[in-house]
Amino acid sequence: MKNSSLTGLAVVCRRVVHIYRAEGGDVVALAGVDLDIAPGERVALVGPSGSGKSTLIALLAGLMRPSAGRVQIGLVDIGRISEAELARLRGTDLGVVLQGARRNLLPYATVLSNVWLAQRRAAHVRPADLEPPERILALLGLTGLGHRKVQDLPPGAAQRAAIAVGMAASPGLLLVDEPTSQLDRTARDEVLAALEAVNTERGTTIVAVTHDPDVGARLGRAVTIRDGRVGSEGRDGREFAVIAGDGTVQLPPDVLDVLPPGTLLTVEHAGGKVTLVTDDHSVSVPVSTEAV
Amino acid sequence: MTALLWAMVRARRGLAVITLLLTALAAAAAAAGPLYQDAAAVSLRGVEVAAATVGERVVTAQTSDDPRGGDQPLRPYVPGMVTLSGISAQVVVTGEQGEENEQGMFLATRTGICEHLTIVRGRCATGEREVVLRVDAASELAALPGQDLEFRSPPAGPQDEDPPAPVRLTVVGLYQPVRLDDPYWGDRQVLTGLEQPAAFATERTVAAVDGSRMRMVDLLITPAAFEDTDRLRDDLGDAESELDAGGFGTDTEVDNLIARISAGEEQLASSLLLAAVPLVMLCWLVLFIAVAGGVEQRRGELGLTALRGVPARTRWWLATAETSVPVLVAVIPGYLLGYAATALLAAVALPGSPPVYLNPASALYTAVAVLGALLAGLLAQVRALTTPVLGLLRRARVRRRGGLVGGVEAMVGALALVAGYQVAAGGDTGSGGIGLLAPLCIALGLGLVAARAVGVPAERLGRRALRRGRLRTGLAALTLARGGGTHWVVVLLTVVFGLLGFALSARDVAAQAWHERAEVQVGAARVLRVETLPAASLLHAVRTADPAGRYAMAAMRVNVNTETKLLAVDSSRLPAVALWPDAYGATAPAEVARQLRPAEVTPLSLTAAEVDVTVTLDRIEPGATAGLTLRLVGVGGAQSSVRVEKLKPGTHAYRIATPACAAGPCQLRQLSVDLFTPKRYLVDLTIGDLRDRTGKTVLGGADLAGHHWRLPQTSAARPVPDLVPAAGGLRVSVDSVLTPDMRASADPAPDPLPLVAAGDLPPELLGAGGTVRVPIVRAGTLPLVPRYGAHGALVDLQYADLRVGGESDAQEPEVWLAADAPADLVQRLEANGLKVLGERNAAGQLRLYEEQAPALAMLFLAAAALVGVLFAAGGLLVTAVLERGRTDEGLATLRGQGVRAAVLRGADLGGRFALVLTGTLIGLLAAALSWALARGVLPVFGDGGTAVPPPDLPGPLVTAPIAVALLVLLTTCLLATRVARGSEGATS
Repeated sequence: MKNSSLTGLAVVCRRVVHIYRAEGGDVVALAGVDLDIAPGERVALVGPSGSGKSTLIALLAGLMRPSAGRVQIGLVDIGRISEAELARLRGTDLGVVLQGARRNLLPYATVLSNVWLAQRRAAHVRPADLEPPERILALLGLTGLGHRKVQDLPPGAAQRAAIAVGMAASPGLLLVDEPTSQLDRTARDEVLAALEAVNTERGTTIVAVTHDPDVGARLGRAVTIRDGRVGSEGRDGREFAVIAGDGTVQLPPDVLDVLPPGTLLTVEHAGGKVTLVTDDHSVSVPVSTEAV
Repeated sequence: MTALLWAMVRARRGLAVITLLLTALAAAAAAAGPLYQDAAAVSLRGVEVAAATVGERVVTAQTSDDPRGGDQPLRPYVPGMVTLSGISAQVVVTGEQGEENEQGMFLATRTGICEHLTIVRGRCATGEREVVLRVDAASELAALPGQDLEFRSPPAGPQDEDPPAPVRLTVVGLYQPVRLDDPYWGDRQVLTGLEQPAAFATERTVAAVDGSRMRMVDLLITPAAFEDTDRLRDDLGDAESELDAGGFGTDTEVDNLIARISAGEEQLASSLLLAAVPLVMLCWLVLFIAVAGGVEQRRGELGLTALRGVPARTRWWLATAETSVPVLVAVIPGYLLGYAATALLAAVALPGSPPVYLNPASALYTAVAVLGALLAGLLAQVRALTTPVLGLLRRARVRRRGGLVGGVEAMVGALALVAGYQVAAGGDTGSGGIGLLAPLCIALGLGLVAARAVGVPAERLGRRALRRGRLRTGLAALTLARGGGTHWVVVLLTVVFGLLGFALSARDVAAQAWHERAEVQVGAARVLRVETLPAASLLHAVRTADPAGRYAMAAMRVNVNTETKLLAVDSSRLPAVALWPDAYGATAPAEVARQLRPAEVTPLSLTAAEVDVTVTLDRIEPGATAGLTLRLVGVGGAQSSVRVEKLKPGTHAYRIATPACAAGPCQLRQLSVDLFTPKRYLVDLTIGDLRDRTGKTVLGGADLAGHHWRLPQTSAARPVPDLVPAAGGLRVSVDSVLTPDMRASADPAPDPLPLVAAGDLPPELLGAGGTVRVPIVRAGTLPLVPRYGAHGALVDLQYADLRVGGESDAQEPEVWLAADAPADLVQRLEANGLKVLGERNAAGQLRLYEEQAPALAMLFLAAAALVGVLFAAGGLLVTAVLERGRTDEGLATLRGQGVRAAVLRGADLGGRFALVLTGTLIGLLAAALSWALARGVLPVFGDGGTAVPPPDLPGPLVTAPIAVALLVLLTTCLLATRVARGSEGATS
């Protein structure tokens, strides 16, 4: 049990599809997302507005159920479990920090009260593993602010308090939506440092949605969601295309500029290299299989 | 947890205070019902006991006392009753002038006599051989304080050889005649001195007089005795057994009073048991609106706790605690508030300002009200707590489709309507109880259905107005159609106005009915009950005392053997004296008088101390003797019969003494031939002139012959004589083997007897205990008649006396007095021989109706309905307070799109006005519907009397309080707009 609380949870998404039903017609928000996140990993979900990253994090948080595909957190397929099990999961292994620090906090209560409230389920399920709120606050650099009312906190501290609440039950997976938006540089750094501290000290898997490429860079792995799919992935400063579970690959935008949709390609695979060749041989895209 | 909870409550203290206040009001309303019921019962007992006759307030017991005296006198004790005992002896008092001036008296003693006598000279008799006399008796005896008088028992008979020895007593004081309506005297004639004056002395003094004595034990009932009528009955039974065992004969009418009080208490219970229910439900409704609005405000927080996976129990507890803590805190202040309000109402409005005591029922009701408040709070947050997390976290509220919830509400509404109808139709008239819920059910049902239905036309109107560019109207109509929770406000207002309209109508109609019945039942502004006397004496006394016929009228009951009761009035005075409420219809009293008495009657009258009666006896059965009896009624009503013992054949004048006719004209009422025959009843005689001593004809034979004579009912077994006019006078002849009834009554009254009646009349009346058939004719019809209302008839008193009066005294003789009767009229009546026993007046009767159980219940209902208006105002303010905390800012968002602030303000206010007016309109509709269906459920009269039916519709004045209520609510709208806008400045 101790391990489960202090070790990160793996996340597996397989061909996740999510469709919003609307009167004017259905909207496909996610069109087959495949994503694997290892325990203790830090991942940023980046991408333009409307690409589906918020939908993905909502699915990971169990706020919505995928229309198709599988979303697995640890060993649990959260698309299939009951509301009660989901509630238990949220209270123990799944921390969620919504966009906008104050939406995560009861404004009139103290930081400690907020943390205390978020620990209720864990206190019930695994009381032995419950960390004292003060230690959680210390981890997030909020020592001494516990008795402050949330409404009196500065923005950076409020965001860290929101993360503290998300972390209160020592979850294996922490989902953070836009942790640094509307923060100044110092505050942003504090928040990112806090997330790193949580990750390194607890081994908590962290998935953050962000617009900020720097955040993606600091977290180490940045998965770009584009048009409802995993478009590419950046690791340690390098950008990769990702082959999806159905074998498709999204070409990087610069390649798409020269290969507009509808272009016919021949895929040549020889000598450890995969080459995409246009019909008139005007463009070829060699891909080395050894490097992957 | 406590810290968090405290922080929560503090953060939304406005809502907490509202919740607290509403629950306190609900608790207060719930507690007020039973508290008021108890207080009203105390008040009712006081009113009923005060209005009771003396006979209903005492148990009298008496036994002949052994002159030698005996054991300790029996004095049974009954809680709540005063035991009075004493003895009395009939005595003859001899004054200074000796036997010339003897007077019969009762010598009596009674517990606490000296406190109840009004001594006008001297002092009360406290020592041995002392006596106090009534002023008038003393003056007849020419006795003064300090003088000795001789008291002795009256001789037992003329043969009493050993008359009892007299006792000399000293007169120490004179007292005023006592009040007959003072229950202390227990309606005992030996004490009140109605026939013979009473002299009071100590018990030893009375015992000293030889002769027979009567020992009296009277139990005088106080209002407190009625607190537990069952116990009172038991105690009375015990006391009566004890008295019976002691040889006392008991007599009481207290059972009537107990029955009346029990009935009144039942009426109160059935009317008030559920009277607070609507008020409590209104509180719940407002509370529901408040909590639902509050929950709406903290959707985000609820979403947050769900997002953190907080266990369901904790989530519910956190959400509930914010409501339930103020609810629970409100219990005791609410109960005390109810107590205070009831105490105030009782002190101000209840007769006798009874004290209000805490009782278990009120605590139970309060508990139910608070439990209901908790449930209302829970119900209001069920929706939020069962919404999925994401729904709670969304900032914009998704407008729900009315579908399921609306359908359920409409169904509940329809069910409530049906229930209201059932309840109204099922309850007996005046039964109160569950029937009182009918207006609530109907208003609630109509409110629920209409609140849902009103959205559609309002939305259409709004859209049309917007299309035509009338922003203010359009937005106001759309606010009414769509505003979150507005339909609950419509329901609230419907219920409030439904109940208000019903309660006010009921009270107004009841007030009209009380007024009418008081006037009808009493008949005149004042009615004097006088001691029994012949009808002719009554008529004569009243006419002499008020010769102009302007202020006083004689009246009496005529005993007839029908359901319709018959009142005889001196109809010539009816227009001047009787009250004539609208309920009698358009017929003027003068017209009624004319219908009752179409012709003046001239009785056969004569004035002479002696008369010579000329009788010609033409034929008679051999061996038979015939006599002639004349029945005369003197001026004062004194009846006498004079007789010619034996008539001789041929024409002779017979002298008879008629002392009754010496002073003034007396009426010849009846003549009868007394025929004694061995065989056949055969006689033929003619009665001629009646002359006085001087030879002057005082009553001519022609008058006799021309008069209308009424013969008794004839049958084959009982023939009657032939009466025909003859040359010398009235010829009476009979020839029969059967015994004829030879009486002939002088009866000039019209035949059949004209009656003015309400209700059905049989073709004839049975008078004189069913032995006389009196043909009648309906001369006129009134919707109600004086005294007996819808089931009664009037007849002229003189006619009735001539027709059915016979030789008996008038039944329940009365003198009706006009409101402006001169002060000395009663003395003049008494001077003419009337003895006034008691007085009733219309105002007093009205006051009694206004203080009996139905009035007390209606007072509470009306007060509750008016408090309901305050709740509605509170509801409007609550919604305004909730709007301040709304996240979507309501109409204010339109300001960003260029709509002028003034337009938005107008739309906001217009929306509220539309809400209030819609609710009021539907509420009044509900009231009208309730009135049509359930107006009979409320008892109007304590005795359930139906003789004077209440009017169907309330008067126009009933609209005044409704208009005031509407005005209050419209003003509240102004305030609410300001309250709701208070936040706008802060948020925008």
